[in-house]
Amino acid sequence: MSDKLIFNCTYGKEHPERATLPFVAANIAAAAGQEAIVLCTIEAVWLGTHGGTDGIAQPGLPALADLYAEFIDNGGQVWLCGACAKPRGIAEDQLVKGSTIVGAAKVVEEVVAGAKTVAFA
Amino acid sequence: MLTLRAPDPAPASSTPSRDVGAAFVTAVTTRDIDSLRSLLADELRFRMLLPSGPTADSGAGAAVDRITSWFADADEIEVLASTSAEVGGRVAVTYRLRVHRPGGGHLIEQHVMLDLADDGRITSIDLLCSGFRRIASEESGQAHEYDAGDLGCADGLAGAFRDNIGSIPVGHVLVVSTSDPAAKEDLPSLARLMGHAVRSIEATPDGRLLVSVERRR
Repeated sequence: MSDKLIFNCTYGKEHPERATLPFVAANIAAAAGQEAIVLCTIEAVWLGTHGGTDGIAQPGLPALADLYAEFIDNGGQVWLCGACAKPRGIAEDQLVKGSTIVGAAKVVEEVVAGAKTVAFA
Repeated sequence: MLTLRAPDPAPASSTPSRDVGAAFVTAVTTRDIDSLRSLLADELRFRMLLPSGPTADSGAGAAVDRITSWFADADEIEVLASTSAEVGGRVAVTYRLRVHRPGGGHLIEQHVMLDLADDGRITSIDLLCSGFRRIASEESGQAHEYDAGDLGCADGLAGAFRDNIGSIPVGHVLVVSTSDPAAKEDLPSLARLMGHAVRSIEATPDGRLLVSVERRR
């Protein structure tokens, strides 16, 4: 039985609030000792690349670069959708610490094993 | 016949301690006894955590004998991956080897922490060893190969994998090669979801991943 919590994130720089909120929630989970993952799809796949969180700061929310680092320090993982990363030309050598490119089967296997998915933003 | 193969030497490091780590890997994997001995201080302390349990040797000679004994019957040693880095004054070294022995192919990985004297010689070694792990795909001769190239989950990877694993007899092993970063994570999941058994996952020096899957149904 998987205890993972998977938080969906689909937005990047074009929508700072929607990009940041899944990380806020996931960071709470990670800080509380839960096995937390932010699953980045569509434009959010840039968030797991070098410079991908630069300048993303929604008033009232933490700067995403700082939040990302704190989330990883808390044991969180960031999964980048492979089908979204490939057409954007994102390769493994562009990824920052804590990010991994995954495919749909990886997510499906976790959900089948009992992981809970959270659509937070 | 004795054949030794190793990747080209790593580029020169800017820090001497990393050079010692790389030289240690080269000496061990090429079984260059003289070079290995020259890296070690006479009063070396060698602590090991082996599959059989913890043990220790004292002195450079004993350490050289111990290390060379592990690979004495190998026909070929291939370095699949190695790293060397300085960690707060110690040198952290890892290496994964494919070792061909008379009984078949094995993988072995060792993680080593080194302490160096001022002259650069190694004064202590703390070593963690995986043991010799038999490579599943080389056990029975019933291995089949499929190169998935850069297929990802949106390009038909699942269907192509299903067709290929379905084309071999139950109980045989399909060795799938992939260079797609998502497929590296996906193939083991796909195999398990389809009811098959992942026997081994192995990275190659050129960045591909070899996933050995036994057809179970």
